[in-house]
Amino acid sequence: MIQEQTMVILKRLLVSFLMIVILVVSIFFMMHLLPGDPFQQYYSPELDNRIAEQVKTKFGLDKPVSIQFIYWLKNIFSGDFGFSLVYKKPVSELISSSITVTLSISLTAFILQIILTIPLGLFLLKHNGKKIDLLIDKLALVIYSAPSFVVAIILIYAGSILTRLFPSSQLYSYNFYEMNSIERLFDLLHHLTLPVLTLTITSISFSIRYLRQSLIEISNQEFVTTLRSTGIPENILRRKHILPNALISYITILGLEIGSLLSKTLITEMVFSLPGIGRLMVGSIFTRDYPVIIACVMISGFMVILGNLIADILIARFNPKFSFEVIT
Amino acid sequence: MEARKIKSVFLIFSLIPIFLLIFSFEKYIISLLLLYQIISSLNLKEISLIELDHLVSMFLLTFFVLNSIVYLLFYFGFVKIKLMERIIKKFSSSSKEFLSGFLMIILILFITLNAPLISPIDPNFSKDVSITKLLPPLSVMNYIQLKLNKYSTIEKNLIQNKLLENFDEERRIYFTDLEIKDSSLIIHKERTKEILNIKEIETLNDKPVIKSQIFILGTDEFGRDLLSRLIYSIRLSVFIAVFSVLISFLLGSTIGYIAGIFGGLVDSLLMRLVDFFLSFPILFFVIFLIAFVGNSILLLVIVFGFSGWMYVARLARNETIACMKKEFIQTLILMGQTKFKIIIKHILPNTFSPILITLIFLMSNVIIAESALSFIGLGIQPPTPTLGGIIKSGYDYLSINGWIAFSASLTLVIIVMTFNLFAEGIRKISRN
Repeated sequence: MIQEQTMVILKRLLVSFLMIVILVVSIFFMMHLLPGDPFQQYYSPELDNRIAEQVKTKFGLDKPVSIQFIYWLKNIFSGDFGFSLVYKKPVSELISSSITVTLSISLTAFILQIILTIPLGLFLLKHNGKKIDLLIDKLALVIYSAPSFVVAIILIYAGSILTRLFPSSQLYSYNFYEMNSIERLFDLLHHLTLPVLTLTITSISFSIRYLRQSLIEISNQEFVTTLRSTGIPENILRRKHILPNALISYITILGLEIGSLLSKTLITEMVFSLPGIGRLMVGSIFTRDYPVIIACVMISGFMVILGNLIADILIARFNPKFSFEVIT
Repeated sequence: MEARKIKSVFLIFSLIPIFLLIFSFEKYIISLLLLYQIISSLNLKEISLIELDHLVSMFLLTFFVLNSIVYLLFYFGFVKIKLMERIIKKFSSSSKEFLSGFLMIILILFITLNAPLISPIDPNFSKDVSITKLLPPLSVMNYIQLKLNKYSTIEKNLIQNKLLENFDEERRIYFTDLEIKDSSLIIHKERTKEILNIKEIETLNDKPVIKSQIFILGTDEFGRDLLSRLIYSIRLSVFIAVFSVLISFLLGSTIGYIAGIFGGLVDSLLMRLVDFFLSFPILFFVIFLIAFVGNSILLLVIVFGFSGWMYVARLARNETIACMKKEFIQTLILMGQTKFKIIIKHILPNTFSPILITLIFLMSNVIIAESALSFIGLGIQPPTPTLGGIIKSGYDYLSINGWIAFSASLTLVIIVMTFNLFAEGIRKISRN
């Protein structure tokens, strides 16, 4: 059994590696298939031909495509993504500042989701079949059907336009640099409440229905009836015997969540105009800032592939019977 | 549910086409006149795409209305239809989710197919933006019409003239107040004034003809009718979803059936391909493609089609393997049936319902993805109405007029939920 699991994990590692190779190669060759020369942006057409040739040699643009590809790979893996045409900064600098924002939002939301979903699932199991249970189940279906930007807009309307409790956009206030460190922390938290809440609500609506379903299925099994007949209190039965069994399918759902975390964060960043990697990418598409686009797509691609890898390993470890059919 | 209840629910739904026919009667008559003109002159070359759209939707509306009339006759006991009774019996034994999902899907199909007739005005029509922008729901604007010959220089025959007279929206002038002085007409528009000669305007007994336009859901920031825009955007979303899911279905089921029926090396190779595409960062690749190639409806359809086929392929393969183990298939193989025939005749019908469920779920995913892309500005570009685009423009005016974002979001949620409910209903039926 353990050997089988390691085989699955090894296979997945191999597939992930292959995927990264294909991602990198396809991005490079798409760049070359496109009409136009990126080099043209840097020199005027009136430049002397000899000097232009010299510059081209210096940048290695006179060499064949295969050798250029090797240079490019070397640069990418040493963290050099080139120079942004719009921001006039190295791309790696832009990416490293934006990726912290993205990761902090998405990971906070992910952890919050885990903290909130499990007690909610137990609560629903306690009131199974009552009005509140059905109400929350239906509500979860409605929120699950709503895309994250709709949830975000509703939260903005309720939280910042009607009640003026939270700011609706940006990462910090205009006077951020005049504050002391504790005020800065609170300012950041104040600004990040709504985005994190958006992500948390959307992912809870997805996972709570599965947790509820599997909790109910397990509580109908025979071993629960046997345990109940021995006189164990209901809440201990729920917490110590039903929940651990239901967690297997919950972990599967969590694994699937990791893979789609980044694409959800992209849209949330766009709505709240947070300086994350998704907004950087979309913004640079509009300004045709190709080095930034390529770097963003590559980093996000790496992250998604890594997330899927972690998810698959988790699933293979905890739920080997699971087959990846469409989960909705 | 009881059969009687279902009958009355159907009654309410059958009233919708009749109600909408009354609502858009003028347009309907004009489409009929257009049809008459085409038949009498047999000049097919001159039909524009928009006119063809009108004609098709007129035929479909007629079809829907005839259906409703037949149902009404059935409901009140004038005719007996055995098929209808059987359908109602089937529905009464199925779940509530299936019934509501089914009826909503019929409604969405009705809206998408009849968009040109149902929508009150053209979705991109805007005039006198200063007074028509950001109107609340159910607001009425008055307008006068310029005379026809001011704009059209080409002499057209009678019916086409009639069409232009009634539906040439470009000739409208919206106003808040009118004043008549001698032969000149002063049109007030909130802060500005416009003076026109009364001869330029359509008149009746020397007085200008004042018509009014109701904006049922209000207008957006350019004074365009929100209801029409929503109708057309539903149409576009459903169009993209249907065609991309069709691509996913064709590609996925072919690969899945081949993998399932041949097994061995072919199976494991194809399934590795599926694994590969399942964990490939599709959204980011789509964004990359759009950044370099530019976006169009065709690109979106193809890209969404290629991002969903893996689920279908995996399901088709698993179902086929499960099906192949059954005795009747084994017997057929022993009898010498070809594999192709077995797939078409026996495996396809047997694996139909789980694949259908997956396809419907995929549809709702495509609708969400498409609206998300147009929300961030990478999808279909304005002025083409899309749900994501309307929500985006509503989001920009959220503090002034939250209604736009709210109504568009509600529409989107209802559509996605309809597909989810319908799929869940089918799943419940196929389990029983």
